[in-house]
Amino acid sequence: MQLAWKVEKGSKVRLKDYDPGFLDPNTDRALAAAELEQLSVELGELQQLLAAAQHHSLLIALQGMDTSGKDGTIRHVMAQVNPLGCEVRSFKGPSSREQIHDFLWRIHRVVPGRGMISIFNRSHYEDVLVVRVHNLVPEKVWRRRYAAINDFEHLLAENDMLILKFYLHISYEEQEQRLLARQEEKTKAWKLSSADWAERKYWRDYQQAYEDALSKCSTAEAPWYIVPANRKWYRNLLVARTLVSTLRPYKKEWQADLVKRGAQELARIEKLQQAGENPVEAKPLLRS
Amino acid sequence: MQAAWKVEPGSNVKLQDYDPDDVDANMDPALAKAELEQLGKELGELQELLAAAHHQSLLVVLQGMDTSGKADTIHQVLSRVNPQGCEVRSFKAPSSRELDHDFLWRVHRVTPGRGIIGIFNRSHYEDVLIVRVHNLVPQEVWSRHYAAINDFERLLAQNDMIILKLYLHMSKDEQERRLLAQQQNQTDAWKVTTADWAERKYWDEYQKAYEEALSKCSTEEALWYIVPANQKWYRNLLVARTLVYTLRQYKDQWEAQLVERGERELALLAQQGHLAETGNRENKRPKKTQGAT
Repeated sequence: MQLAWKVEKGSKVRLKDYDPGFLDPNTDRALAAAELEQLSVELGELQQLLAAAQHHSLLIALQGMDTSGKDGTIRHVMAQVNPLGCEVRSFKGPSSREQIHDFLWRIHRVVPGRGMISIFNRSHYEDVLVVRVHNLVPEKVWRRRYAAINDFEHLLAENDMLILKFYLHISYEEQEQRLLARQEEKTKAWKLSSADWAERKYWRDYQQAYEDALSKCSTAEAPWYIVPANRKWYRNLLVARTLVSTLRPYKKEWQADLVKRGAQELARIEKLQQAGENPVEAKPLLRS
Repeated sequence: MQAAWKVEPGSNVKLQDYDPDDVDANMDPALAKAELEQLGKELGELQELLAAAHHQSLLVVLQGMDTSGKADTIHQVLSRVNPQGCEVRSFKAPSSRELDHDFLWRVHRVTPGRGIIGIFNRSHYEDVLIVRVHNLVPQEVWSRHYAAINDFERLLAQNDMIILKLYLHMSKDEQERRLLAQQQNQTDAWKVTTADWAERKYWDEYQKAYEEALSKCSTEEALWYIVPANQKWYRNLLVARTLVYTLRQYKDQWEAQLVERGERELALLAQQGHLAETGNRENKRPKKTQGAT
């Protein structure tokens, strides 16, 4: 089954080697809709287990050029996930309070705790993307950020965070079509900003910055995935497949965690009953 | 002038080589008091500059066994510092929300921003001290904390944070005297907890854990200092000296930054033609540059 393209650790990414219009020839659009529906239901179930097992957390970073469909992906793929256990964080230009700290400070504050899913709509990678392209800090500063990001993600992964990073890969031509479509369609025009056209002038610089980020920061514990994203429906399908196939291997472990916790609770209740206490009034076991 | 003992990066610390009773023979409590008063004032001035220059931040980590005087040191050394630019953070056992995250999560949130002094009364080092001594996590977990701490402190230092870590070094006998004194003194008795006596049993394990933390996590960008702390007055003096001597090196730079910023603001005002129109309230931005001249 076709998934998003995983960037192997240490590989040197050239984005022109990846076709944004790629489509697995065996894929049927109507079937894809049904499969996505299935996958998002399964994702919802996996999230329930993740939340109950309270062992892992999940971080999904979405990056891509303007109009590449970060919002649309979240809406379609996460449709069946309980919002109680899922936070979406968007990162815009840092506030003055955020600017007085290191670039990872505002990120670290909002990483998901055990049992939680966080989706980053843009992320700390902006600090080696827009910041690099527009020289918002000297090169010396953004250069050392790749290592800082790897150290940071290593810390998170060691604390049982599952990390997936998706680059939604659209072509230059596709972006133009999407921008024009927004201008022509009244209901989409609110998404437009003159900044999008201005940023488009830096396309090559961005692609180069992405290539560096993908090459330097894809690790075994926090891999980057490249998603061919010219077709929205195919993009959604690949992201959903990649998520589900990553989480599925944990299913048994989470179920076993739950059974174990249940047994502990029951044993505890029994002990309280033997001691003549009313277990209903006793405090629940907070942590095993 | 003698300051606290710096732990050279890569060195292997044996705490028995450091005398907790060490006192400079030329010093006495009266002289120290006068000097501390002076240093406290200077620290206040340096902090004004740090705040106004708004370039660096300062993190002071205080660690030490129970009764080694972490709280008292903060009180005696930093009382001259403007509380507006100085935050003291005490780290107790993590909350359940904090336990849901990696061990540095709660620490990173409260690191000082540019222009601010952050004092950590205990710190992320507890995760390789009490956590290690009491096996609160498996060895496999705490043993990788050292590298994570070094990565984390490097990130902070690269963002212009000046980091000083002070270990208040007290002897086991001195701790016993202090615990007994606290019990005998009615106004001090509130400080005593049975946990202090219980923890004392792990003295050797703690010393070993401290040796490893000091050895593995003293880096050029975030040095550990060992402070002989049996004599409270001398401990305070050395902490104050270490802080002041470190910050003094930045003084010229901060002053230059202030002058530069002032000139920029003035040029901007002149350019906008507001300089002479002192009566025009709308255009007159109230300038709050602490310590700027």
